[in-house]
Amino acid sequence: MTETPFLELNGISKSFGQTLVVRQADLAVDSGEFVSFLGPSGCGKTTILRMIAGFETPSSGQIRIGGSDVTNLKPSQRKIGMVFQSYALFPNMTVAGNIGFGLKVAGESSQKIAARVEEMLALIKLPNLADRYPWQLSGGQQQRVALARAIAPRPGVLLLDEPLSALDAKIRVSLRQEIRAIQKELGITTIFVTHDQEEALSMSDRVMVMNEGRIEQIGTPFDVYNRPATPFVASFVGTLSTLPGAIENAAKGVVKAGGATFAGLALPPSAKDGGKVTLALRPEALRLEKRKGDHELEGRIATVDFLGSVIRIRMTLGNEQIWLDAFNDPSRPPAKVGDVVRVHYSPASVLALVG
Amino acid sequence: MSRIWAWGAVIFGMLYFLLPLAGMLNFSLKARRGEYSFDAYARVFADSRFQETFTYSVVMALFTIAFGVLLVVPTAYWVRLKLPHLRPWIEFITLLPLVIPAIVIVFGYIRLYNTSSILPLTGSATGTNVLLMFGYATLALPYMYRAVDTGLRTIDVATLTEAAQSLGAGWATILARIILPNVIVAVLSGAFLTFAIVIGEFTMAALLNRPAFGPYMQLLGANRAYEPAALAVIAFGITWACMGLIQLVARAAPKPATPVKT
Repeated sequence: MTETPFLELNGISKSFGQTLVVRQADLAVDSGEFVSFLGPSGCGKTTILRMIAGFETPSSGQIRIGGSDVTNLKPSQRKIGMVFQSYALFPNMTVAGNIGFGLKVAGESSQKIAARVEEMLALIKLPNLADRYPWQLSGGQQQRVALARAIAPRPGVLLLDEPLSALDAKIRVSLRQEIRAIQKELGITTIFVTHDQEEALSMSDRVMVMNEGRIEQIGTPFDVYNRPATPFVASFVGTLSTLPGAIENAAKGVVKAGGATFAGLALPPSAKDGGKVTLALRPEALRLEKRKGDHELEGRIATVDFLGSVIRIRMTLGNEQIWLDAFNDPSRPPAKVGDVVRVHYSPASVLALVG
Repeated sequence: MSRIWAWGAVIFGMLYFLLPLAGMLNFSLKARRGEYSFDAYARVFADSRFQETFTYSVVMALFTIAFGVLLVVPTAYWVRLKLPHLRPWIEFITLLPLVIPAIVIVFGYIRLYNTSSILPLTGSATGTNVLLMFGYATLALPYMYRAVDTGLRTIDVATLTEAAQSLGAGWATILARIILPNVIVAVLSGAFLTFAIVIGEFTMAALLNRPAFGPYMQLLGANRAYEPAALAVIAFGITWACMGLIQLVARAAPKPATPVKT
């Protein structure tokens, strides 16, 4: 990691008419870093991306790329590469024409363009499709060509706007590994916009979670998933069971929730005896077998969904519901609906969110 | 039963359109007494005024098409990209030439651009030719704008523009390399319609006193018997050839880039 960030957003805000869609966003991205913007639709993540690209101008704040202020530069002057959800390949050009377009505009010689196009086609593993037109390609192939087109002119920053959303599930997974591999190979600073948490968590160096125009948390995928900074992040990233509870003993971390008593929890410093707290549990934090140091709960099984490798169980705990993921075990049949079972958890895996 | 009526309507319609044409064709071939011949056609083609006026109109049509494309493609593109709320207004304006008679437009031109005005276009032959071309472009505007606008509807103008911008392209490059090639079929169909309009136009050319094909047809019609019929058949032939060319280029249209599922 370098000392000066390669891409910087300093207090970026954007409003359309009366609506403030991005509020005071600050972000520093290091050279070669892969950062995902994650959030529900309308949270402002695409607007920030479009401001970095230059398609929108911030209402206030500053954008710096490679140390220089680009806030008022035209998109064509920013040396960015962009990939769109709808691929946006030029229908009148072949694959080679599309990939070479940026270099041609820059006035490169046709020999150099041809060499770079060949290099890019090898990189995206479509060496034989140079003379095809976009309509002759599958969606996955089109998006790979769009990626090659974006990186062919050697941009400083690569911007990906939900590039996998229009693709089939299988292609989506293979292409996300491919994008990440290419990004690492070239060491190109990349911003990836998505509403799919699995994509964000699996591909990124860091994830920026947004909601209603505000940045909720910026951190590594591990941090964002395991130590969510706000209730929104906790609920948006991953599946989460929440239990409203009352604090019995703040010092010892005792909370009563869903008719059960949890002890040894790490409560926030603001917690007081008798105060309210929301306990949040990931489905994988609960297990049927007991491990050393585990606490236990008793609940009734409400539904059992067999998903293959994982069995997702919904159980009732007093008046509340919690989810539990168990791995499939062929030697043991899954629990039955209506059974009363004991489940186990480590107190460290229970998140306590005040408010 | 309904099938009979349907066929009846079709046959009636065909007779309605084809009988006058057949009559005209028949008459145009009867220049020589008692037998069919191409005498009228031969005389028309041999007339130096036919060659002059026809060449004049073709050249005017080409200039009109070039001017119309340069005017309409960037306008329609800009309206789609940046001013979509103005589209109903622009459409209304482009439709005005269908409502306002050519004679009103040309009298307006003569009043505005006469020799004692600030811009005396009618003072020279070149100036009048330019004025006539503007007039033709106005008459062709409804067809040209509609054709181009429909062509633009088939591509994702906004995203393609942004993709080109992010690759470093400026407006001229985007229009010439991305937008125009993708709407070329629409532009060509607009161009052929413009060609057909210019070849047959009478009012503007006559009142501006230019040696165009329309006034020549009228002059011939007033003075001869068989030649005007031959000329009318020729004019129909040219128009139909234009329509045929529209069909031909539409078939060769580039395919939209919808993903093929594999």
